[in-house]
Amino acid sequence: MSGTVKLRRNPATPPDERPALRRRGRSISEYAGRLVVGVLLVLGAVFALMPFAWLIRSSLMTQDQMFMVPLQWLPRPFVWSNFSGAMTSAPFLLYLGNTLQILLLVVPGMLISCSAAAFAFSRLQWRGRNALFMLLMTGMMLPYAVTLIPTFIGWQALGFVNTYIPLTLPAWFAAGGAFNIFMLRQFFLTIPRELDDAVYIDGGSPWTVYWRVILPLNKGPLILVAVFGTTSVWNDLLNPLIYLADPNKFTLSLGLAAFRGLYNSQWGYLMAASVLVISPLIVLFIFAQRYIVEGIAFTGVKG
Amino acid sequence: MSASATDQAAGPKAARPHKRRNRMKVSQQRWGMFFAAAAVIGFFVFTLLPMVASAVIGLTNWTIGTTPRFIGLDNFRAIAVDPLFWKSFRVTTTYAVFAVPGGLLVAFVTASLLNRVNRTRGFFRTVYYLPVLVPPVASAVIWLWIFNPDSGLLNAVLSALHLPTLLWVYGESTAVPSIALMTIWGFGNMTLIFLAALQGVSRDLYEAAECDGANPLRRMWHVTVPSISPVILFNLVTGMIAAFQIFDAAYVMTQGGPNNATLFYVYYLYRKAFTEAQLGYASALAWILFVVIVLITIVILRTSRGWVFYEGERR
Amino acid sequence: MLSGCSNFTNKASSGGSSGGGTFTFTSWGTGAEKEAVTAVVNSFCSSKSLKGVSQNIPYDSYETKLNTLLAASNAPDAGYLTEAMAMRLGEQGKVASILGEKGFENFLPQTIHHWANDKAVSQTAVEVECLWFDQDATEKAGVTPPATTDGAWNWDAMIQAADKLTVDDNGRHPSESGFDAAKTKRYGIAGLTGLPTLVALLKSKGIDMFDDAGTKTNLDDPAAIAVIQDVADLIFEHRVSPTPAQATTYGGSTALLLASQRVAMAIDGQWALLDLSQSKLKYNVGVLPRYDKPLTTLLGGANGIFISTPYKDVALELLVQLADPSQVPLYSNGLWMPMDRKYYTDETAMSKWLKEGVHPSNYKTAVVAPTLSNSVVMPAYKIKNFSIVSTTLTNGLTPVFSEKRSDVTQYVTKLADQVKQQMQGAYPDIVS
Repeated sequence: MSGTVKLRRNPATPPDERPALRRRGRSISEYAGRLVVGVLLVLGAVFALMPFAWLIRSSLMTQDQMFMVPLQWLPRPFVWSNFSGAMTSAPFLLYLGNTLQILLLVVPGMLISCSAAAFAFSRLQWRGRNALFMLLMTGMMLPYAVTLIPTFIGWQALGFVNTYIPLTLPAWFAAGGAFNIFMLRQFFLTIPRELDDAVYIDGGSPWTVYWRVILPLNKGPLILVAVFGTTSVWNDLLNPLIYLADPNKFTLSLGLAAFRGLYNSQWGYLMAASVLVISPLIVLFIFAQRYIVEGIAFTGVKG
Repeated sequence: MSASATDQAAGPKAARPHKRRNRMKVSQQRWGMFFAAAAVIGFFVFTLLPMVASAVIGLTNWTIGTTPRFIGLDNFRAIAVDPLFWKSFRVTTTYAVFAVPGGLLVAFVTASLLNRVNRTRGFFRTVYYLPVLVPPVASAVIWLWIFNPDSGLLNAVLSALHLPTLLWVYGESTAVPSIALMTIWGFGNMTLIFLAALQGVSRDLYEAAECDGANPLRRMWHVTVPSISPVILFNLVTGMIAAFQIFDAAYVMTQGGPNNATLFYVYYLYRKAFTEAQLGYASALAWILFVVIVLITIVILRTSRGWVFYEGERR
Repeated sequence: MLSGCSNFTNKASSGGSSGGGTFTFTSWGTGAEKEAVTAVVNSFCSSKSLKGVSQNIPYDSYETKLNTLLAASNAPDAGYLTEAMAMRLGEQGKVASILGEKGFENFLPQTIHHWANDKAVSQTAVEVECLWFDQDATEKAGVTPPATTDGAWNWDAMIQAADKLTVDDNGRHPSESGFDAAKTKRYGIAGLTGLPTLVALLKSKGIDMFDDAGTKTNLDDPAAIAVIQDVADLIFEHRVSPTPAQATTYGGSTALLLASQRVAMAIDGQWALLDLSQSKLKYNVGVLPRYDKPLTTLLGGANGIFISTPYKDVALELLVQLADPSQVPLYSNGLWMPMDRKYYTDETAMSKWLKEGVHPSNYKTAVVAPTLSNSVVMPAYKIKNFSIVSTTLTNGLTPVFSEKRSDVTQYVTKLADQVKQQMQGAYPDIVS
């Protein structure tokens, strides 16, 4: 037997949507329920979107209009030069390239090292497992502010300051990934043991379990790790700030921060640049969220 | 453990199960260490070493620009009588009490509402996650506008509903709840995690429950919640850890004000380290927080055995 | 091990070309300031056969980055420094003293700050507090803000003037019946709640904000509390002033406040001139109101030369060059004021930085003259740990200016006590 059990997860349709089980006489309360859900969702969406609306309309306005009381929703006139001005005041395309560089180095590293570790902590029995897991978790519990300087001194001793190494290498060793390891472990723990056993019975190794069982069944959580990693790299200000000295190496977040001054800030540019910086993330997320949800159906190996 | 097909017929009958188990044990040991290797190395080099360094620094009087001198527990003695330490601790705990349950609840409810596969839900899912994508620099400006007592969004809504307006982050008593509200806005991460978890609940269980006559609420309580309990635990623990380390809001928006009402612990610590340059004192502060967080985590994990159900773990 | 940490001083040159080292100057600032500083650093360094690196760091993160670099013994050659950090580093021996150095001899004494009797640091530029106003609005209301210190308003005169300028949606002034404070369209005056303005107001009544030894604040003095009460009354009794929250609607920019007609007069630093000159507003400047003696506050961040630099002489020259209005456009475009005395007394020198179209008609009498004769130095350098002290004060006073309170005396007394706990003494800086 080849051991390739076709494993798919549930499509996320709770039973009450399936016609066969819907009882008659429930339709009114069901519609009412759906209406309530719909209203809640819309209200929530407004709450979530309002700040964005403000951001976008601000990016198209002059500074005096932006802060006017009472609030102006329509820019008069539309100031498109905020966008062109922001892009030319600093080499944002370069920053974008730099940020992508870092991203492409970090995300795969995170995925591999964190999922491997989570696998070890959830599906395998070995001595020292629980103690090590607890120890790793403590990494999340000490504020970064006080490890910043010792870490910086360390990197400087190695001569890697002003390079991307401090920003990318740790990802391959799951450093700072306690969160992701913990999360993946919790998800891995929801998969029934029998699937592992099926592989072992067939003479497979833990590697096979990892590669053919656990990873495929957890596409959603893995994509989550990728999404979290991407947003945190994209918006990370502190690390590039501390480690990079050469403006040609700057990232998008540093470019944004430069618009804030002491006595004044270039609000128009800041708003426009923010809109531009957020956009790729939004596009990325629109694609990613479908995969998180649509996942894969689980047809009961449990039988 | 069931019989393994690779079992060799060598050796006396009684010894065979032992040998099998030992071999499995050894191989799992090796595999376990192999898979965890990168993370463990990374932890020791990139996390543990700096942590130990900061612990040592906490025992010195290092002010940046001078050479540090070992002073033992003097930092801790000074912290014990520091009114701002106590104040920041109180502020942070109050915040955590608001933000953690609030965030969990909102995230869970939202995830439940979003747990359907169709295009409109896809739209909502994206919309609810958007706040997480906003860079902190822009976020600060946006929220200062939202909270502005004069011309801000929230007070505009309140007065449109003929309700009294609030001072939000500008008022001593309303500042922390305002920031909790702001954090809940950014709860997209938690929601997403809940959503992924809800996806994995076996359909069979729902069917069985419905056949037994359970209504939606009971289904949720008896099927959904236990099935995703490991993830609830995760969000609870990580939410608590994050709440105690809240920093950005104070740093970019309130600078600890008004009148220290938002002097969060990590902000206070950061100020000590990077404005007052007192790295020794700040490190000591950090380790106190560390101990508190570890203790709370242990309590949560211990009490979790009563309500968390792991389907795939053999204990 | 610990002292060893600060010993690997490897000044890595960032791709320095052969034949010259690298000179790094760190600064904060956006737009015009960033460009001007970078241009000066680059051209000056190349004239010295050095590769000039102008590192621009956002102000909010400036101290973090610099402290990190310092902790790792990787300080730049020179750069901006916040007041408190400059003095602390001076005391620690990390920053060079400019006393007796060539080019600094004629700097105004208020711009030289001593951390020790024989060691001092200089400012980046001079800044003072000014009363900026919308000239169209004041003319229309029949108000003439004082252009000289002789004519400075006393408190009542200021209230009257502000009252004439404050209107609600129905065109009523606060002194008229039927005025609706919730519908204020334009406020008469803003900016009195800021710490620099309070320093000037207190001193104008003869009170120093802090005692000479830097051990406590004098805010609990009844006369000082009266000043705080007066400012609060402007907001809640006379209703001519916005609360700090209302004022920050404009991202803290005076130019925006005035240009949007939200406020008719605003007390703010001289630096507002840069934005004002680029707006369409018809603006002018006046002197601050007074109690007894008319005063303004003189402030400004510091320039520091790190002693770890191998290019100390170059750095000194660079600082002198940055102080020269003919080399740096930031003086004539209104952001900076010069530090050399001659630019305040000598007509030819003055014409080098006072520019038609930027500096308004009252500027010489309302800003230049008072800087010499009627200014008090902001205690930011003198008071140790000032960053924290000032944050505590500002945050502590916000509730007094945000809501009408009947317990101002108790509140401020308590605040004074809180601030006292943060105070760590004073440097021998001359403040008056």
